[in-house]
Amino acid sequence: MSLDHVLDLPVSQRASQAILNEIPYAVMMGVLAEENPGTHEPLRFVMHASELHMGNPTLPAMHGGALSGFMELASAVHLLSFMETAKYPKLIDFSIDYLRAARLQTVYAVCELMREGRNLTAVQVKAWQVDPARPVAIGRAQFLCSDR
Amino acid sequence: MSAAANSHKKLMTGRKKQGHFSALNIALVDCGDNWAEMSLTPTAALIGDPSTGALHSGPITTLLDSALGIAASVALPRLGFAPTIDLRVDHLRKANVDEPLIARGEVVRITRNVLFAKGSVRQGDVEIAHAVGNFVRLSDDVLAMAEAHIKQQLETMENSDES
Repeated sequence: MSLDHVLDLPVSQRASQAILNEIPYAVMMGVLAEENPGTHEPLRFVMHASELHMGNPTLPAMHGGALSGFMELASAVHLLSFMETAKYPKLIDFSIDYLRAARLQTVYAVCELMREGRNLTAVQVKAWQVDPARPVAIGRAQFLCSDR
Repeated sequence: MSAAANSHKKLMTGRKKQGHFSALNIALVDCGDNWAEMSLTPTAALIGDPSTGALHSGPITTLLDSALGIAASVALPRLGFAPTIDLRVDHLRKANVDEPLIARGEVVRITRNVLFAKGSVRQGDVEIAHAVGNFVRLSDDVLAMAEAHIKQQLETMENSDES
């Protein structure tokens, strides 16, 4: 199944993991979505860290760009799992604040749709490693979703 | 070129590429007193939207974070590194995976605690993205430890070259 096929499905039938499986960069990064059908838990994204995500080898930390890439993927797929759009959204801009050192270990992210417009959609994303109350980074994205 | 820029260049180009730099084919092109240029040679594995073949935004962010971060490191008065505080990237145009991307980052101001940087990414003659980012100027005692560590790495590299 291609990305177009997955996005042709109504939102209620789109599995976030099925979307991620069709995005080469998401597959390379190893980004996963945890669906909790029937619960009110927000959709949670996971990335298990490996040498592939390492930044400066002098300190075994996650590259800030790998963390940002994970959060950019999470925001786009979160949007696709809540909005009736048939195209991968175009990222206009992304802003990230690094709050704590991100270690080379599993990182989680949850997103929130802040504005859902016909053209512009704003998403906030929070990433943490051990304690959701101590985020390693927060980000915000502005997406263009129109088919024009 | 400053001694710090020279050492950073040796470190980035001399040792075997590993980690996220290797995964994304990112390399240092050159760096000077307060600037750095880095390249990213894309592959199909970095596509974000298969229906258009566009490169994902993540690798562009990573390239800019790296170029601005190295620019901040070489701009320090002593050998060290500068962690990112924040980064904002505007995606001006779609990038493809057919041609390398080149990013240039430069530090516009250094204060006692912060390095302010900006930069952009080109693919061929076209500007793909631009960014602003701020970096931590670590305290002198932390930087002294970083300097010792980097010097040790450089020595290890040089010794292994000789053997």
